[in-house]
Amino acid sequence: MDELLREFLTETTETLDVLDNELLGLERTPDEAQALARIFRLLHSVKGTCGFLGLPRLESLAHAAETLLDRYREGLPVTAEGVALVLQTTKRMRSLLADLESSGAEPEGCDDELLARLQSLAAPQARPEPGSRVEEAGDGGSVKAVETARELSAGDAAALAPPSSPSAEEAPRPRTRAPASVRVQVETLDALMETVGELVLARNQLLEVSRRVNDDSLRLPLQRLSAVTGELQSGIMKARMQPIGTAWRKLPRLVHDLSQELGKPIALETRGGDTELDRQVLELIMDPLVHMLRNAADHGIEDAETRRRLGKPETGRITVSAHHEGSRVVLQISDDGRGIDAARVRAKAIELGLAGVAELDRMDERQLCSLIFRPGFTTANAVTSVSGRGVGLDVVRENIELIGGSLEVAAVKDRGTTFTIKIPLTLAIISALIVSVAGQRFALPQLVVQEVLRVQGDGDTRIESVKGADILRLRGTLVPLIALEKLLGGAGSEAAAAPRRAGVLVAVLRVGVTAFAVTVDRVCGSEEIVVKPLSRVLRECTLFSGNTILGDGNVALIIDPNSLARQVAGAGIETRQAVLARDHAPARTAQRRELLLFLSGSREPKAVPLASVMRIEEMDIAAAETCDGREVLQYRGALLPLVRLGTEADAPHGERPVLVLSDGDRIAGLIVDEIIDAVEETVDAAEACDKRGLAGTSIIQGRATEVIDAAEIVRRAHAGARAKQGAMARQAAAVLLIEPSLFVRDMLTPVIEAAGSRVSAAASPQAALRLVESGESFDVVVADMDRCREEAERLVASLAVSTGRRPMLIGLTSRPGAEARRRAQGHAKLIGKFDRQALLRSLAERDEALAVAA
Amino acid sequence: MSDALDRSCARCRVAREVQTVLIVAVAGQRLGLPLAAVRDVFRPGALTSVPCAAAHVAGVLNLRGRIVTLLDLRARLGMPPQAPKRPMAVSLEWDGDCYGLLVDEVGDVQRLDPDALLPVPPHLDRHWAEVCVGIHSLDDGLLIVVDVDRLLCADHHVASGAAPARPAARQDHHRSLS
Repeated sequence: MDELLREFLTETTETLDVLDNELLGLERTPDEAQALARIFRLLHSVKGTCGFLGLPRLESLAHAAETLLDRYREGLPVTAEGVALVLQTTKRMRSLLADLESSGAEPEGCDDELLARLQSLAAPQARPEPGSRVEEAGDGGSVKAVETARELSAGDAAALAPPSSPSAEEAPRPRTRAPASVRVQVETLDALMETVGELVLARNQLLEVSRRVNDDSLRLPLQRLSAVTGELQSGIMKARMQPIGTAWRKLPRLVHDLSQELGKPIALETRGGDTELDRQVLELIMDPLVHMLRNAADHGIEDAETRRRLGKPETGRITVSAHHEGSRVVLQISDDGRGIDAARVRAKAIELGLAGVAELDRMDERQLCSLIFRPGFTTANAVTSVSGRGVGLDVVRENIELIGGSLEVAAVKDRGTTFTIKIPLTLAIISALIVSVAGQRFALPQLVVQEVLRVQGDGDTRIESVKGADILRLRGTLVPLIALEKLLGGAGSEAAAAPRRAGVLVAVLRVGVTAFAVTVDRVCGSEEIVVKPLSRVLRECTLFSGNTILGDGNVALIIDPNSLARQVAGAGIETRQAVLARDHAPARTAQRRELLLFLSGSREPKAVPLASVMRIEEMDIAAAETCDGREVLQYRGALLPLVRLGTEADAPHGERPVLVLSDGDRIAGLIVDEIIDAVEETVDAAEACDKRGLAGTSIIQGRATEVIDAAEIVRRAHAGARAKQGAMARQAAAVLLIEPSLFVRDMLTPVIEAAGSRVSAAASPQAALRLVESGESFDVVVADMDRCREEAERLVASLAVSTGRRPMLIGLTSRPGAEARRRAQGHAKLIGKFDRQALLRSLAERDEALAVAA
Repeated sequence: MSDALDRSCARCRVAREVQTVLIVAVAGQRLGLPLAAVRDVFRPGALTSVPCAAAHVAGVLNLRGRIVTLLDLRARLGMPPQAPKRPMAVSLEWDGDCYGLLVDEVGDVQRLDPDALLPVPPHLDRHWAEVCVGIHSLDDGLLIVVDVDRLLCADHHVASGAAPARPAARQDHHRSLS
C-alpha cells in the first residue's frame, strides 16, 4: 500500500471519529448552526480526498451526506432520522475503509439504497413530521454524549474535536488555532525509544565503572551525562504519550450504537481524557476498555422500565474516567445499573464448583464480587441472569495483567458497579528490585513489591507449612510463600528448597487482590531497567516477561509477577489449604493456649486443651467393666466412664495412658496410644470440622493437628448407651469409593478417613465389584455419578440384597448443575466432587440416622 | 507428485541463494552458515542461564548492548553438551532477535557452487537432517549447509519442508476480546 493511501486511511478514520461525535452532539442540540457547519466541512473534505484518490463509493456516500447537511444548513429542520442516517453513512464508510486497508482497493458493492434515502431526505419536498424532532425522540434509545470540557485538551485532538458540552455554546471555540504539532511515524518514535534505552544502559554501565575507579575527573561529566540522558528519556517517553481521550473518541459512538441495539437509553460521560499514557499501553488497553463498556451497557444498566420502578432516572449512565496515580494510570468504568448481587454470585460459584462453602463463607462482599473474574465463571450463560456480569471477564483480566496491570471490581446492589483498571504508564522502562536467587540475579517489577523483610522465626512473622505448602505468617495474616529457588533452580535444588524457618529473606508481592510472598537470597538494590522482550526461542518461559541489561553489563531476567500469582492459584490443593487457612485467620482470633499432644491411631498428632485435662493416668483397660452399656473403670472411689476415639490401636489389654478429662463436675477417661508433649501454641487457622467430638483442625508445630473437644467427649461418655453408637464410639463406617481419577481418590480418601470411616477405594466399578464379591460389605458407597452412575446403582442394589442392608449412596459430580441433579434423581445425595464439607455432612447425616435407629 | 516436485524445487531455491557460507565446526563436523544471516563472531562473556528454557538454550548475554540468546549447537543437534576449551560463538539476526550459536571452531568464509549441492542423505541423523539444506562435497571433506530458519525456529515440527510461518507478533499472544 502506498504512503499516500496509508496517510488517507489514518486521517479519514480520525475524521470519521470526530464526525460521529459532532453528529451525536447535533442530535442533542439540533439547531446549532456552528456544529452543522463543522460537520459539513468535515464531510466536504472527506469527499474531496476520496475524489482525488479515485474512491467512487466513498466519494458518493460523502457527497450524499454532504448534500443533506447542506440542506440543514440552509434551514431544513434537523431530524433524528436524518442524523441516524448520516451516522449510518459514516458506519458504511468505515467498513469501506477497513476493506480498503486490508485489500488496498475499494471493495465492489452498491450503496444505492442508502444514497436514495439520503437524497429523499435532502429533497426539498421532504418535510418532517413535527413529532420526529430530536427532542421528542428521546425515549426510543437516543444517546446523550456528555463530555466535559476537560477531556479536550490542547493540541491536535482538541482542534479537531471541539467541546460539545452545552455550556460550550456560549464560549468561543478554539476552532481556528493552528495545531503546533507534526505527524511522526510511530516506528520513528519506537526506534528513538530503543536508542534511548541503549543510552540508559550505557550510562548505567559508566556509573558502575565510575563507582569502581573513583576518579574525580570522571564524576562531573558523568553526572551531566546522566542528567541529560534522564531528560532525553523522559522527553521521548512524553513524545510517545497520547492523551487517552484520543482513543476514547470512538466510545460515544459505541455507546450510541449499544443504546439503540439494546433499546435502553444510555448516557456516556468521560472524564480525564487528557490523561496521557504510552502509545503502546493505550493500544493494549483499548480492547479491554471497549469490552467492559459493552458489558456495562449490556448487563449493568437495567431497562428503562426497571429503572423507573427503582426510582432511578430512565437514562442509564456510564462513566469512563482516567487519572494518574504515581507511575500508574487508573481507569474506571462505572455504571449506575443493577450492581452485582454478591449472594447470587456466591450461589453461582457453589453451583459451578469454583469455591468451597467454607472458603466462600469467609469472603467479604468485595472478594465475592471478584469471583466473576475467575475463569469458568463466565462460561455459563446463566451468569447473565445471576448478576448481569461476566462474559469473558477472565479474558479481560488476563489481558490487563499481561501488561502488568490489575483489575478490580466494586459493586453495590441496585446502585451500580465500578471496574477499576490500574496500568503502568509505560512498558519500556520500569523500576525494578534486583534480587539474587540461587546465585543468579533477577529483576522484580517494583510496582508489585509491597515489602521485603527478613523472617526472624519468632514474633509476628514466621514461616509455617500446611501439608507441604509454605505459608508466611505476616502480622496476623497468612500469605502463601513460594520458594523462588525451587521454581528457578530446577530439580537440582530440591534440598535447598526445604523451608528454612528463620533468617529467610522474603519479598511480599501483590498482584491484583492476590498477595503472596517469595523467598530470595539477597536484595542487590533497585534499578531503572529497560525492558527488552525475550527472544522468540525463550517466549515459552512464562515465568519471565522480558530481560534487561544491568548496570554491570550482565543480563538479568525479569520475573513476571502475574505468572507467579498464577502459580499460587494453580498449586493445587495444598495452596488451597493455605488460602483456607488465611481466610480462617481473621475469623478466629488467635490466642495462645496450652495443649496436650497425643497419638491415637494415625501418626498425626491430636491435641486436647490442657485446661480440661485433670490427670494423666496409666490404667489397666482389661479391668474395665461394662455397666449400662458403657465401659467404666473404678477410679479413686468412683466410676470413670471410658471413651475411645475409635482410632486408637487395638493394643492388647493392659496398661494404657488415659487422659482424665473434666467438664464441670463430670469426668471421663480418654484412652490414647501415647502422650507426646504439652505445648503452648497460638491456635488459629482452625478449620471448622463437622465431626463431632472435634473442635477443629489446627496447625501446631507445623503439622495439621486435630483438636479434641473435651467437653463434648465428657458429655458423650455420660450420655448412656446411645453414645456408644454415636460419633465417638461408633463402629467405623465402611465406605466404598468408586472414582476413576487417581487425583480425586487421593484427595477424598483422607477426608473420609478423617471423618472416622474406613475407606476402600476402587478405580472402576469392576474393581468395586471384585471387592464386594470378595465378601467385603459397605455402609456407604461414594461414586462418581458422571461416569459410573448405572454401575454404582447396580452395585448398591446387589449389596442391599446380599447384606440385607441398603448402603447409602453418595454421588459425586463435577457438574453440580441442575441438569446433573435431574439425571441423578432418586439418589439420596449428589454433591460436588470437590465439596469436602458437603461430603462430611452427608457422612455425618448417616451417622445420625444410625444413632437414632439404635 | 507435483507437490513433491514443488517442495524439492523450494529446497533448491533456498540452496541456490546460499552461495557464501561461514564454515563452523561442531563435534568434528563442518557446517556452513549462510553468511547473509551472520552478524558477528564473538567469544561469549558472562552468561545468564534461563531456568525453564529448552535444553539447547545456553543462556542470555550482553553483546555490545544487545541481548543475545546463546544456543548450544551441540545440544541443538542432539549431542551431549561438552564445554569447548575456547568457546566461540556466531551471532545471527533472526526475526528481530539476536541469537548466538555456540560452536567448537569458526573457520573461513567460502563461496559454494549451488549446482554442486547434494541432497540430504535419507539416513542422516534426525536432528541434523532437520536443519540441513544439503551437503557439499569439498576437497577436504563434507560440508553440511544449514537452514537458519529451521535451526532457530522453536517449533521443531516445521522441519518437514514448509518454510516456518512468520513468527507471531507479541500482541498475538493476547486473546481476542470480541
